[in-house]
Amino acid sequence: MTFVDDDEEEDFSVPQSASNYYFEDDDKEPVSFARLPIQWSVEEKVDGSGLGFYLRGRSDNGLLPLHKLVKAWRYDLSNFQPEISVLTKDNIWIKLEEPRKSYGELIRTVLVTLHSIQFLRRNPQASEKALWEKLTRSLRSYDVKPSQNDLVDHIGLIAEAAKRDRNLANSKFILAFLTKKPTKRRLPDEDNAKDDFIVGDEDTYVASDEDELDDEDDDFFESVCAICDNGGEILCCEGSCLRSFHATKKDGEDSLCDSLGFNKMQVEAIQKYFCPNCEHKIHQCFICKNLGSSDNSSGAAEVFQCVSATCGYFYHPHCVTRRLRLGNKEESEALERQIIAGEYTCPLHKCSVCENGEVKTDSNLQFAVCRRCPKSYHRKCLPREISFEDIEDEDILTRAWDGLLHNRVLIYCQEHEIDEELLTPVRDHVKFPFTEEQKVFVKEQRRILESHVGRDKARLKVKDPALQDTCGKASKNSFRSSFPSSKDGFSTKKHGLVSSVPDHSRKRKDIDPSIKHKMVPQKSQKMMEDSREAGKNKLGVKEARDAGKSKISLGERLFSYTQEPNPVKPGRVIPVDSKHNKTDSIASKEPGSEIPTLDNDSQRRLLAVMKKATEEITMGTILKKFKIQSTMSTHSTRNVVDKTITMGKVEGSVQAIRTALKKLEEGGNIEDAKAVCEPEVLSQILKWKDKLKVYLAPFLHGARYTSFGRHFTNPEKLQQIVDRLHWYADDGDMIVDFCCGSNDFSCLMNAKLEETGKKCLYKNYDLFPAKNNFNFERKDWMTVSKDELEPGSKLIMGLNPPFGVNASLANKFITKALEFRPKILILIVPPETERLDKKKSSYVLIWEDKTFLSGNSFYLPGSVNEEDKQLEDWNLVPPPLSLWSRSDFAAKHKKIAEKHCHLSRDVGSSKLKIVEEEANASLHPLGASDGMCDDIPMEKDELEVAECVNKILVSEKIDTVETVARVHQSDHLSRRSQLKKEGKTKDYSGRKLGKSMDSNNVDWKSNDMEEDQGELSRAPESIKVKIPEMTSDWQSPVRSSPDDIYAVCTSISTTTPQRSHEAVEASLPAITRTKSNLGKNIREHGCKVQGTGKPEVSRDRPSSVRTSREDIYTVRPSPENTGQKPFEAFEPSYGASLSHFDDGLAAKYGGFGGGYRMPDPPFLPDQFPLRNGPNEMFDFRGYSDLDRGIGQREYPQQYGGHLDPMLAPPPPPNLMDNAFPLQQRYAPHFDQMNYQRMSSFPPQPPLQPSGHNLLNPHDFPLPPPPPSDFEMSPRGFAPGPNPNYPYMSRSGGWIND
Amino acid sequence: MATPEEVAYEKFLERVRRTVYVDELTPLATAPVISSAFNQFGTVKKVSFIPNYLGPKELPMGVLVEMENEEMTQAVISTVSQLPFMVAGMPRPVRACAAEPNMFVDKPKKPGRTVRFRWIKPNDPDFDKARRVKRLARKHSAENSFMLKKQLEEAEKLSKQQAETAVTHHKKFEMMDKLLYDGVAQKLAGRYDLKGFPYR
Repeated sequence: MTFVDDDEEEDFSVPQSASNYYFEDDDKEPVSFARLPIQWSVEEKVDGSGLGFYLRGRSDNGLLPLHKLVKAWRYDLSNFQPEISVLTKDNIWIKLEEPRKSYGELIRTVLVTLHSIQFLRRNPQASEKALWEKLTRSLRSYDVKPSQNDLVDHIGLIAEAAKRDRNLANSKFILAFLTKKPTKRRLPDEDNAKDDFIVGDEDTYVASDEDELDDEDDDFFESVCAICDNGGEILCCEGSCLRSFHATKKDGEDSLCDSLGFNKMQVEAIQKYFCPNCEHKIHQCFICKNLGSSDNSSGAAEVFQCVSATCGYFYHPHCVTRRLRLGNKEESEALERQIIAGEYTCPLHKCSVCENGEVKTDSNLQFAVCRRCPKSYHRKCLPREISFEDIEDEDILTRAWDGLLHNRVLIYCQEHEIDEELLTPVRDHVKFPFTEEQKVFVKEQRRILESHVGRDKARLKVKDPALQDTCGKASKNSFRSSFPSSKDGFSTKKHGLVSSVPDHSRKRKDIDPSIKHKMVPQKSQKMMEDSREAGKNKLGVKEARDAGKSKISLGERLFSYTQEPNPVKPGRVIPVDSKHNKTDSIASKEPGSEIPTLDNDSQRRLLAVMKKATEEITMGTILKKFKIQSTMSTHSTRNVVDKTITMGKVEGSVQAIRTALKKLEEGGNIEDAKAVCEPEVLSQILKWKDKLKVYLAPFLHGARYTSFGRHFTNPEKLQQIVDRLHWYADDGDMIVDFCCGSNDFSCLMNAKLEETGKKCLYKNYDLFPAKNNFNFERKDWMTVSKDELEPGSKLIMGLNPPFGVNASLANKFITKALEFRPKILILIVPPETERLDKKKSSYVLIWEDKTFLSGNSFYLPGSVNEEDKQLEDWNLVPPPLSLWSRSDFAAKHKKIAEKHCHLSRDVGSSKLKIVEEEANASLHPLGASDGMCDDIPMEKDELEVAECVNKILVSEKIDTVETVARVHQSDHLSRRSQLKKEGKTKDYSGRKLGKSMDSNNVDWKSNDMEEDQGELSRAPESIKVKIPEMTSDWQSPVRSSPDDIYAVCTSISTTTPQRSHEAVEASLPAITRTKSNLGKNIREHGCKVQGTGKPEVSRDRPSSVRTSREDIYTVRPSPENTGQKPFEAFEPSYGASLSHFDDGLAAKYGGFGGGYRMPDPPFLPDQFPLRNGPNEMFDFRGYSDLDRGIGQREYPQQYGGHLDPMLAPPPPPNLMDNAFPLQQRYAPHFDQMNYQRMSSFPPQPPLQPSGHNLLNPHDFPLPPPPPSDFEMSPRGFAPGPNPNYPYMSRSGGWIND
Repeated sequence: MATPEEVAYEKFLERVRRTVYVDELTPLATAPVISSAFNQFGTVKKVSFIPNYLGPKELPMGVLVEMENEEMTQAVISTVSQLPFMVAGMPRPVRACAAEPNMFVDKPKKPGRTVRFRWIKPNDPDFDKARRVKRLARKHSAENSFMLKKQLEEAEKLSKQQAETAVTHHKKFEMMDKLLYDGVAQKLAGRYDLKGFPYR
């Protein structure tokens, strides 16, 4: 086996190569070269006397037809791709490049085998899955996915290779493969059954590949190297120049590109590449080619960039004017000004013949752009001299290439003389700033050029088609039709090449974490390159070998390396190694000497050990360690994101879009605008945004990312589901929860069914051990087979599968479930899930409840929020709960549904209300109310809350913010239950009035209590229209801190105690009166919701105060709510769960002797962040902005605007978006993305630690607040509303886009 | 017959078996975080942190999580070691392994084991041995702290880099989002008459 390990050898022994090749035997039948004997090493000569095949194809970049008799082959795995060579009869090795398309299929299996061997040799630890993933990617040009079947044909080859290569022999896969001696498997179904992981992943890979292809199609930024103008693996500059470069010589070797001269290691280490120009902001003028500063921050810029989104060229203004030869001075001055203002599109965007713009969609109107100067032509306007091919008679060399640029033709215009060797103009056009580097660059360039020249001369016999050499690999395909249609070859090949960029970058990205450790910051890369490379290589080889031995520690150590800033692991593992080293050294040392500090020697040794450990950790080992489950398929976009979406591109595009619109708005014509910003840029922006959104998701929605991404349904909800579902179950049914999570559902179901006397079987699957292992089996649902379950007619299946992106996982789960043909499917899946009635299988929707799971129906297991409470989860759009029935059962189930009133959602929810009632109000408010309470949109969902809060910010409503805050508060807090009760009461009054009256009373009481509190404080203002004063009072505290709020509270109370009492009492009779009026009641409840929600509103609305107050008052139905009574009534229901904060307030109020309390939301702003953690911090921001922003003048209208959503169905979330300043919306900052979430809020002492000591016992015999509440408050007490608080909402309102 | 000492030790060992040792935890993790994180696999009975006596406090923490029974312990270990397990939303895989008696601060004395101390004189033949051992220990700790330092440095570099990357991406994202938010893109799309451009 010939492993050529150093690249140097390659450089001079460029083997002859064959492209578009195929092999045929004497009968002209194509045969696989694998049937030739293989030459394993130089020493083992192959007896080539036997049979021989004819190699047909084209040699040397398609110049010569090949027809050679070959006798042996060999492969070389040391490169990026396996290289295959064949030995001709006259002992010349010919490297095989691209097979003829039709031949490809014949040798596919060999290639698969070689790729596998290569991969496994490098990653002996790699799992089978990793192997196929990798192969699928590297051999994607083939229609058939590589599989084990392909290896079976070449088992002999593999065995032999393994015998000769230790690394390979170490590979687990190979061992398993060879011992198992597999036979071919029937591909699709069996494979599916066996390893659905792979299938799943492959699906996603395929999908993402398509995705990438999409992007490539749309990536209209130039994807050719700025130096040599050829494609291939290129490195994008992050800066504004929008250029790309061949990073390594190897990447650019086809086009003799000088490249940036990095080596592979360096490239991998580069996080973001800024070319020297962009790094120093010194760019070249594209006309005069001189360098000039482009940094306009100081106004000292000399060169200015073309504004077009996709154009990265810079110009001196005077160069442009000179070039355009503008007649008069004013004109040119105007133009220069325009250029300096950055609103100028360079001459490249106008055809130099017809002066019209470019239309990329029309091939005739596509541009041919010169790569050396700002000159372009329409395709139709292209002068004959700029030709796609050589025309020997007229001495015309190729100057135009198709397919290199996106929808453009790459040309060199006639001003540039084509260099005969390079076949491009001389490449002196790229100047990097700082002469020293430049010199090195140029010198190196020259050296390389010379060497190439020599070589090329020797190699190229035929002169003219040599042109294609420039285009390197690209040309190889274009053989058949080498002349007229080089176009085809070009474009197809190029795309292949370009597409490898994301691939490569993905890889690069993958390796990043570990690489970074290895890499020393490199400035003088060029100098170090060679020695480093050599050293690395050796090390690498050694590592690879060691890797096998140190298996155990690998996986463990990788944690520390990949993970954030705490690599203690090596500290742990390495000492073991170092101990060995050390003991040696110590032994050698004279025992007497003390060695308290480390000498250089041991430091070096330690560093070496560390380095070694670092290098042992590769992506492969990591992937191996953590198998990716079907539910956690990786999304490759995030890796692509990094390298292709450069800052420069984004900035450029954004700028261009703005400029384009500006031009249009100023009356410019559409063509100009399109020159600035092509329509594609717009869609590209969207795509980028989506990608970044996925990439950044963990940062944007931090805490929603939890272990295994699991979201469990709340047991309360499950109970409700069970209460509905049990009617449908029959004796002997099997209930299957395919993603059981904590396994509550089955337990609940079991309890319920036993209660009703039905005996059922249960099966619960999940990937993770469930807490409760009642009939639990730890198994991937995708691998459950039919015989494990009862026949379909006895199956009740479903519940809450993982959703996945666009419900992909949910779909998968359902599809799998349908294989069992269960009689009932009960599903909690996102709305975008493919509907069962749209599928082939005949399932009928029995009922669907879209709102059932709104609100806090889910929780994130294993995650806690700031106060160490289980983190809950909202869904923006609540996933509907639906019951599907197999068509033959549909009628029966419909009947059941009707009988138990499941069909109409109202009844359903009212039934839920009962359930809830039974559960004694321990549930979430929303669960109760969402049946009808569409009018409290913000409760629906955390995201929506964010939205709403934003809206509220707009309308400057402190109060509603509080409402939201209240909604957010943890479940057993009184606020919540209060809200819920509102919902409930609403229900009751609406539908079950008679029955629920009694229970209502209690609820009402508590509500009323709240009302009272609110009213009491509110009343004076509203009545007396004390608003000016009030508002000023009000605003200032809000701005500053909770303390001030207290102050306000107190001030309010001091001003009002007596009066408010009267007000309350006065209004009570009215309520009693209205209470019996049912119809009215409903309305009132609506009002009440609003009232409680935003009590302050009334204060801020001088004009409407009266009415709204009245509304609120009329809502109060409880007859005993007169005088002081409400307070007493209040206690039992409300007091128990009051948080100490309220107590504190209450205490203060109590202190005033008013005999009433103030549990009003507005005074508890701190509770919001307090309970929800920094994530909800936007509140504070809200406050501060609010103060600064619009004054109270604006309240009335905004109030109106805001009121509606409370009463009516929720408005589209964006209804109000435009109303608030941008920066608020974008305020969410990024700072919290690290660990800050845990630590950014230094605990503050509770503001009123003695809160309930102050309680006036006879007025408020409140039970002490639940200890947990009390405990958490001090801890999580958020700092005062700081206007500049950086920790904004993590969701910030854009999640729902 | 087992002495009370042995019984106590047995009991302790049983506790050890029920305990998972988790490390690589962020220093910010708190007991409730931990217990809720592991509660999804079973019932956590006790969480005790192992203080880090050696290095700066930003070093990752180790923690002993006592579960209700051994199966749960197994479940925790197998899950956590097979899949990246995150605590509190941060992608920071932790590691878990079975606890060992030595990890416990409060472990009872092993029955039958006695530890004796004695002073030795410089001319004692064991004196040199003891000194060597002492020196070795010092050396190790020096090495250890050196490595720790290096690692922290690297970790910091890495985290800076990552933060920078993320911030840049976020900047890009914001830029684009702003563009869309401003409606500029939409307006332009309207002018261009682009179909299907999302008007939000």
